[in-house]
Amino acid sequence: MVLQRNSKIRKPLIRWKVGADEDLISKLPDSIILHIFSFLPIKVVLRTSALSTRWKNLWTSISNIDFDECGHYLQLGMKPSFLDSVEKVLHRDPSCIRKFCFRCIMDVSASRINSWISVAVTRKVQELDLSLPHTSCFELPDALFSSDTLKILRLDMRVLFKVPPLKHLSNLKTLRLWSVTFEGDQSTEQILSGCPVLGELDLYRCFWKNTVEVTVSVPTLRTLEISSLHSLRLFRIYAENLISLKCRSCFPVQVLLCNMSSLKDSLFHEEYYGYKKKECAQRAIKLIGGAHNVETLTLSNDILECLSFEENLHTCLPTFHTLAHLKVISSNYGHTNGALMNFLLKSPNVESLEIPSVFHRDNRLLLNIVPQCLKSCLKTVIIAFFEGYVREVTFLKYFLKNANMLERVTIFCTRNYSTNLEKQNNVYHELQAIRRCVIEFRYSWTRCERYW
Amino acid sequence: MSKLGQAKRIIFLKTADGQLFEVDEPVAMEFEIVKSFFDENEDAADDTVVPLPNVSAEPLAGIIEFCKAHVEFRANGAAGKDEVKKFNAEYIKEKSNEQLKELILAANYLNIKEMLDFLTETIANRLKNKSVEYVRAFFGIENDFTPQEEEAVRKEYEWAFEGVDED
Repeated sequence: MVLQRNSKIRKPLIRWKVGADEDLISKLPDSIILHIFSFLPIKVVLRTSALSTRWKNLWTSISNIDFDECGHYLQLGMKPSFLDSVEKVLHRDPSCIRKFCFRCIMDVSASRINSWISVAVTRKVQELDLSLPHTSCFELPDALFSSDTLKILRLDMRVLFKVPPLKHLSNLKTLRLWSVTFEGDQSTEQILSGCPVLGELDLYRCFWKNTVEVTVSVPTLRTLEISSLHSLRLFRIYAENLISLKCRSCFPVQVLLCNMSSLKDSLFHEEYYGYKKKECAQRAIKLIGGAHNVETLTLSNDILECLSFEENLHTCLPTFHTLAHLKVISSNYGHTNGALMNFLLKSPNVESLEIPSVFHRDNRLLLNIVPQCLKSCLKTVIIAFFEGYVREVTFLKYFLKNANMLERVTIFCTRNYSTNLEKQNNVYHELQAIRRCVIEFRYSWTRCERYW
Repeated sequence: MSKLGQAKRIIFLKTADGQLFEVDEPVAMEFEIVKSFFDENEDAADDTVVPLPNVSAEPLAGIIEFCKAHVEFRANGAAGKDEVKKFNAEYIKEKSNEQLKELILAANYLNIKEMLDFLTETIANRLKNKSVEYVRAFFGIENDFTPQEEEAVRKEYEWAFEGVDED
């Protein structure tokens, strides 16, 4: 046994620094070792208890308790030991904790979860993060809503989210609810009005009982993400201080942005547009129209496709006076849709444009009227998924010809094209002949393989 | 007084081993302990020497190098980008065990959150997914448990000891 261990050690002896045998880490004060622990999942922290007697009980005053077993199935027979550990760790010390996180992919009884939440609240937890398989339905203990220390709450579990009467989460700043069920419009309002300092809200795959219309009014909100709220028909948001919004896959829900006077940055994506095309286009126009005063706008090529079902898109869209950065993202090898040009016509001050490659059949991409932003503002163009087809070169030429202020064109090539320097060189000279500006070819996995 | 002036202000720091350091104000203000010294003594003269009785010259020089680079990164809008990571990796590569320990203790005393986070996170990353034996060998930790004691410790949180990387 001893021999085996020694030989094991000798092989990977890449020490912290060659030649230094002295025990650096054990000599650090407890507070610093606890700081090191704060970056680690509890599993790694618990393992340090076997290093030496100095380390045996060091971990017990940790303030971040992070049980994350989502990545893999536990080895056979380890489940009792795992669940026992949660109990022991939570009860080991009564001191305050900053964070309790529990994520796993196996069933855990509701009573266990509730008792853990209650202990965490008693230990004045500031950040609670629970992620459980969607096989069973939970109800949250009332104790959670008596917490005046909780700042961050993240739930990814089937749970009926109900705030007991007269209870508040007075310090809650971040709320992320995934797969959570609400009782009705009133309950949603009640929950959010009980969070007087809420700045960040993320709702994903949530479900509403007894209502198809929800109105949310959160004057303190700074960032909002909503996606896949399919049980609704109408979701209305009032958030006059909202700065950043991401809205994904909400069809057939009509999302209405009301009073978004502070909004700077928005992202919109819809996958669904096969059914009632024109109606979907109308919904998308209403949705995006609510963000007409943003500086940065990101659209998926799917939502552009959807918008293009409205023949009079140009007249339906509002003017985006403040828009400086327009970006089209693609969820696959999709191409830029002609609807993009309608956006450019309606956005007189765009300085930077980032798009995936273009599709040859779409003749709306090259306009007879040159958008104002090209004439006077556009400085940078980034094009991704570039493969060097004639249609792509023609499209770039259009920009070089018309964008008087153009300073830089960045071309992210597909893997094949990125190695073909001769072709790149030809395109480079063809484009340089039109206008002198920086033209660069690049390769990046994220921009050339997939977007998300 | 010169706070209002245009000239670059220099802060004087004196280490435990009696060395005097002249540091540009923005870099010195990275040290929470220096910042609060001036916050509390608003009328301190320009040539005030801030004593640092718990730091010696060698780690302080290393800390100034780190903070100076990071102040510049922030000024250039490079914070969080690859060049910062590259600098950090290079910075840590050259340090011996002893130097690293001294840096951590000094960064802790001077209360420089960004640097302390970086140094402690570096150590945390060395512990991830590694077996007890590997960590002991890597950091030179001597196992002073009897085999029975060690067995009992491992048994208590059995689950935590499975699923580590192969040494």
